[in-house]
Amino acid sequence: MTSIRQEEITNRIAEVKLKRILELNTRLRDTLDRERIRASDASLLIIDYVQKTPDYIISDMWTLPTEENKFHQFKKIRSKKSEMKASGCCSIM
Amino acid sequence: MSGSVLKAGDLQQSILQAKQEAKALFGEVEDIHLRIRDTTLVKAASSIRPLNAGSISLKLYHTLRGHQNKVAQVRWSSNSSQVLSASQDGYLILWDIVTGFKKKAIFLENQWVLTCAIAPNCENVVSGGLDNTLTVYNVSSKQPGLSEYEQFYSSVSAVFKGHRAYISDCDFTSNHHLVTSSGDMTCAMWDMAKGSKVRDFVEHLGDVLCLSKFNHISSQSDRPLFVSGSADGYAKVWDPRCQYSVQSFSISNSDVNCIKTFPENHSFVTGSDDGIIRLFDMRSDCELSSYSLASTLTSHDNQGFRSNGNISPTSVDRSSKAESIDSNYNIPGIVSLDLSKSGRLIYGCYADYGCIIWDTLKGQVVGKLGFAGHSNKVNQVRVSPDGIALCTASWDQTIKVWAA
Repeated sequence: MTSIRQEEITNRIAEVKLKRILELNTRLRDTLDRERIRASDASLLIIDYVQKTPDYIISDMWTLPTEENKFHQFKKIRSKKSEMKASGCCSIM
Repeated sequence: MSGSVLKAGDLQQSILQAKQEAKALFGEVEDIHLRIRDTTLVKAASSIRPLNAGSISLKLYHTLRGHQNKVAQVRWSSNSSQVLSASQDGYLILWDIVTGFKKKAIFLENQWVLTCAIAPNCENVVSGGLDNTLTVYNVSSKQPGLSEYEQFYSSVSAVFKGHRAYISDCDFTSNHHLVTSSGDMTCAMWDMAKGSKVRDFVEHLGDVLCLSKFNHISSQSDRPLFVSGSADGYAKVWDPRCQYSVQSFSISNSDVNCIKTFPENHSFVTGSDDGIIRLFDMRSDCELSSYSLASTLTSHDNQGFRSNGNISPTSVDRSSKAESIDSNYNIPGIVSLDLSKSGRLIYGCYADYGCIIWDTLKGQVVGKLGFAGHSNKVNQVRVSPDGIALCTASWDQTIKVWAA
């Protein structure tokens, strides 16, 4: 009795195993069917994108006008304010 | 009895057959990969002018102080005006990046936070970590007449439980949808309107350590959503409409610690524990380029050896030398990486060397922030969405903002 039960279990395990491998095979076939472009074409597309996109960190290719640089603008305002404080002048309206 | 024995024999036979077929298919896939990989990005870009020395203009703009412990992660808001930081002191802090002021500090119930993110509309922020829970906080509204304690609890707008291990990384894919990666080997998608998990992404065979979403505009919804990197050495591309990953890439034999989609959305870069940054393209389904500090250092050293008048090494010598030099340098893993706005620059944080800047097209090191003035390990680098600033975060409890 127990041996029949055991056999059933091993059969079941084998079935699951088979199912797994068949699933893997379908997925491998999907991978084979996938459309691919050559690495050289992909490289050219990437190079094209990189060369065309403005990147202001690279200063010898792209320059950000200072009036568009929020960090510069803020620093300017702050230094103006501190200058006014330092000069000690105030206007009474 | 005899029938079941026969059946068992049949099963074994079919398993064997299926296995052989799998082997043959694997071979075919390998062949295709070999045929497709006809060049590398660096070779294809040989006619591009290299960047001049000093062409990278990064100046320290701010040091953000306020955390009392290691900073775990930093994230930019989509409009590049705010930065969210999560620290192991148990706080999320939202900073105004231009003034350097704190806009909001959120005290977390669980101090062991690993990751945080800001919604595109800046109304919600989220944290996740070792408590296996994702918590969403509302940061836009303030209800009048509540004590600070009540204010805090009213700010929690969702608590997502479901992962069975730590949450390693997360991001908003829309104002109401989140994706997470977890140590339970899965990724998950969560819906704030539904208040629950929408689906699991199960396929990795190790802890999922990182993810990065693709930046599509909503009209391009027929595209994959995000890519994940795992301790099993694989990166997988996921589309919510597919049961399995749509693409799977074998990266290395070590943990994939960090991953970032390339700005044009058809490729991504990975950083792994073996110290190598790699660029993969999804259209051609293969690796286009790799950036290794170890090989850069060894090639410098080999030149040094030759100029010293040593006998030029034979191929056998060279390999043994490379090995010994490798072991000398013992290249540390990559803990964080990001790309500049155009993708020309890769910022990589190495466990022992700090932040190093690579030229993506030429495959050379073009700059070094190093420890960037931090007094401890630099564990995060993030470029702002508008591309004119970046921040580095460190175990020394501070965040530094660098601007063009």
